[in-house]
Amino acid sequence: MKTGIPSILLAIILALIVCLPALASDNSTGEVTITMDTASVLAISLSQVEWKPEGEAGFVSSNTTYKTDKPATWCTVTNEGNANVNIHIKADDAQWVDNPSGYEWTLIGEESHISDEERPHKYALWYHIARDTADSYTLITRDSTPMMWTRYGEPLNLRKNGDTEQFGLKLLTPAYFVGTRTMEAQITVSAVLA
Amino acid sequence: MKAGIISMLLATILALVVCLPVVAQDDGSGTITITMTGASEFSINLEPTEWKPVGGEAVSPNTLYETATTWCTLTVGGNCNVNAYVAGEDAVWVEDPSAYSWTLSSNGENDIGVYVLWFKVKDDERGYVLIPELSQDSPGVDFYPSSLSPGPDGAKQFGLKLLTPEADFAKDGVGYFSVGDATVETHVTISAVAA
Repeated sequence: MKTGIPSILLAIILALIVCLPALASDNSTGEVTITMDTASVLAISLSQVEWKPEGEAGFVSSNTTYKTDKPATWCTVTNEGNANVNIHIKADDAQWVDNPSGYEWTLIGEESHISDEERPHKYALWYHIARDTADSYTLITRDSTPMMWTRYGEPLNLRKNGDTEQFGLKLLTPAYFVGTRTMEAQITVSAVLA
Repeated sequence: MKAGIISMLLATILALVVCLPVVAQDDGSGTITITMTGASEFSINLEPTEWKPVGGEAVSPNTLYETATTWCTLTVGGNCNVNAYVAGEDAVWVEDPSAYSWTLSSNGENDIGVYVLWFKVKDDERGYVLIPELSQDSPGVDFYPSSLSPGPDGAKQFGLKLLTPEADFAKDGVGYFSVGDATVETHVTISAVAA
């Protein structure tokens, strides 16, 4: 009996094979593809535009490190446009507010110079990106360079409108400086098309 | 065992039925009647199959774009009349479809993130017809009020109209979508079944 059923099925299959062309599927589709490009606008904003590192009595001390109160999330950079942008950063020498051409602290451009014993009138700045490797700080130079994730080795990117990232700053004051002079430096954060 | 043998014989007989005309002997005479029913065979062809509103330029938010009503020609091939249906789908950002998309409107109104599609067959009294989303329950809206016949005489010309979504945000009084320098893509599907 068991051999009977497969045999009958075999016969039916053989018969159907001959009939298949007459039962061919009878539908068809066509497709039109519509592609639309979008315009872009480039704009970013910073949640913080001032930082005043302060030690005792409101002054900074020589050869001392200061960090923003929130080391990783102090400043939020937001893509206010919609362009795919990488965030770049640069800083400049700090100048004496009362007489900018009369006295300045030179921004150190290389990590290797940080440990120089003689480091008068030279200061350093770093940034740390939120969610990056713990305590990973990258030196800020006078040349505008992409802010980089040390964790991924990739530039800090804001792809679309409303995207945000956060970072904090660290400052090292000169080993020696002229006291009681208010010094001011600018850090420029910019968006560059990725 | 007997049932098995009988079944095997039955299977062989059924298989041979198809082959019998080939091995028929011609001692005497016989008549073979062959009955054949032709299958419905058809296809549809669209020309062109791509539309890029405003050419290489960027589309603006909340803006109407349309082709001529003779922009695309649908031709039915085969041997039978067909009923055709039109359906659309959500438009997606080509670079990252899950990150940004426009929903196809179901009521003819656009909104933030919602766009509208219509089509119009050249001599169709219905004018512009809203294109609904393709679903498992429905192949879409009727392409034409009556069935389409095969061949050049049955060809139909139609056009498309598109209303982009409202702006996601504005900058200096100008509206933009959330992703810039991006390509958003969608498809209009026309399907046919034998009438």
